[in-house]
Amino acid sequence: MNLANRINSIPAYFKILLGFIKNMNLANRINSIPAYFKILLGFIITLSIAFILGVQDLYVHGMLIGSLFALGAIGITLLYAIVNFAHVAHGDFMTLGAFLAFPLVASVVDVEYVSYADDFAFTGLFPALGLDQVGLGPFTFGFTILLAIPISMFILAIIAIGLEKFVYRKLRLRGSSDVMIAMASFGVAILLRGAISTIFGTQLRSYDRISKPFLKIGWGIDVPPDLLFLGIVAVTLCLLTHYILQYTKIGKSMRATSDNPDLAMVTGININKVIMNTWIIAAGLAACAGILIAVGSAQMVPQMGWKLLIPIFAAVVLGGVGNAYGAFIGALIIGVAMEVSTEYMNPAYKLGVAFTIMLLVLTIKPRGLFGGKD
Amino acid sequence: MDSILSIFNYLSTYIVIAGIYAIFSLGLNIHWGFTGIFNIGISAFFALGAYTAAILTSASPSPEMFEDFIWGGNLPESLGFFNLGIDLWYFVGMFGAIIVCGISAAIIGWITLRLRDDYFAIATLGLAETVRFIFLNEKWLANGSRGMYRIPKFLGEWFPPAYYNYFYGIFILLLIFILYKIVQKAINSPWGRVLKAIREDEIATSASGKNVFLFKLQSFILGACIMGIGGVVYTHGIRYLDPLTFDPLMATFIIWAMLMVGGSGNNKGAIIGAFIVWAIWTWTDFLPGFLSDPNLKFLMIGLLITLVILFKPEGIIGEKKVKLSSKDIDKELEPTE
Repeated sequence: MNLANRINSIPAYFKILLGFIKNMNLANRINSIPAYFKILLGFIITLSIAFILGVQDLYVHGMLIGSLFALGAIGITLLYAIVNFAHVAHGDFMTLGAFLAFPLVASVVDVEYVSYADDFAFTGLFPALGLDQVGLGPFTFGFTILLAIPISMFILAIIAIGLEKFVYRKLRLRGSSDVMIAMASFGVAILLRGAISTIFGTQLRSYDRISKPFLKIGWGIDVPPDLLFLGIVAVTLCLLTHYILQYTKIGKSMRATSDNPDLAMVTGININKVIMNTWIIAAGLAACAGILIAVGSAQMVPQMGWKLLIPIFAAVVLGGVGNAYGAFIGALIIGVAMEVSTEYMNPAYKLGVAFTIMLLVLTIKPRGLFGGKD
Repeated sequence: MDSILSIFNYLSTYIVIAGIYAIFSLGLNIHWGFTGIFNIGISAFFALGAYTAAILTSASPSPEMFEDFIWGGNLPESLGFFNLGIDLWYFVGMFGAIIVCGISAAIIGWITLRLRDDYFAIATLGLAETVRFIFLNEKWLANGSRGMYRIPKFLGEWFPPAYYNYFYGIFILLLIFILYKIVQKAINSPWGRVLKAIREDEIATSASGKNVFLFKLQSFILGACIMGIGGVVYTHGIRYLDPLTFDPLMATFIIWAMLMVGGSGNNKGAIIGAFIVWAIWTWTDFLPGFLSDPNLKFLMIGLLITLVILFKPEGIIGEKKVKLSSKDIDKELEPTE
């Protein structure tokens, strides 16, 4: 029984099969599968697992909530790509967006600091104009919230431009390090949150709403109709951002700047303009995210944005910093992970789940799932 | 006479709290001022230090006191003779807190300090929130939201309660002095110079053969341990802990404002900044109307940090420029055996 004999005794068809497998070069093949196919496959596999475990309801919830996170995550990742710093104030941008819409749509707006003298409250803008209908169709909110979204996006974009002009650009011109600029955004975050809680107080608030029954989709999935609608709005905005990035001049110059700022400058791209556009997009998305999250969770407090910072940054890191598509997928994954985890442990640890995922990604694959800047 | 006494009482309380903040500010100065690592999760180490000391030194829990946690170290009793009558348990608790803070800093730092500085910042933020949630939800560990309220007094039987803060204030000032000396010694050593080099230029530092990651990790651990000490001093000074104490505003943001105002990169500045900002914080309570609104103070803290970064990045006392004379350089160049 020597080796040659043994090898000869292996049937020919088996040898051919082995050779075939060897020639397939599996690792390369997996890498050459297009990303969207992998994402689709991942989605189908995880959804089937969710069905097997009986958590499909939470899975769908997570997807919808994740799509709201995506609006924030895309903003942060774009700022990373263009301005190259961690925008710590992004969570508070979202809070500010939600609170900017509040005096527009709420039927009673009580302003906190004036109430030291006497109770001071006024009717919100839209209800004052007679647009105070809530509970549109199956939803808890009225259509005024949809009118408030673009207004809030606009105001927040202006605030962002102001901050860029008077804070961040000055620091950049002075040659401050990226960490120093992140530090400045930390100061801005506290400033914004302080301003919000000074004006509106720290109590729990929500837009006017009427409770509505959940939508029964079947297969054990019940979704609040609100959330479904908000998810659609969020995905639409993400697609719009995709369009801007891929097909418009603004987006092309942004991508060029992200790839190589010096080369972009030499080819005549106005970097300052690109940075301004980035701020406008990021702030607009943040404002929308803030309002959608405030509607979806039916509550808003000044510190909500600061807490959202953890899942959103986890999404950014998971998708690869600077990669807008990665941020979108990352946000969906984080949303699902956070929601599904509530089945197995104390819901209070949702944030801990996002944090743990972020630490794992940073240890195993610091460039994220889809590759990003270092 | 009474009014003078009340002013003194007020001042002693002021010194106790400002002094505790000064310890955190010193710890943060090692992170940000000397090494340039961006820690926005100070409250994590504050909480870890404070709760470790509280759990180690609290009496065993009793159901009659509505306490849900399962284990209290009860160090004042269990150390017994080894307290030597001078409450050595205090320092044993402090030692425990330092160990816990050091280990958690080592784990977080090991994962994130190799990467970009801002990843690290977000990781510290996540750690702070996670630690707070754990102490809030794990009732068996630290009594949850009801908090720990039977924390023993350090040298409590030596001083009457009315004058206890005078003693504790002096004790804290002494502790700050010792920590200041230690940090100063560390920063002026070759080790400290490497930290400053990392802050100024990481690539150049690693090019000259220093392991940037290890130095950053050591700096992070040292700073976290000092923050842990701050937590211990807080625990036995206030003698009540609940997770609300570790809200980011009072346990992270305000400390940043103190360091930035005082002058990052200067230990004296860090301490003075703590006393100044705490004075502004408490003394604005006497202002009329909405000027004393705590939310407005919040806004001012943010404004203060932003303005200092924009217009006076070096703070009140900036970092001292180190001037080397030719003598020093000769000494450096001397061959060492």
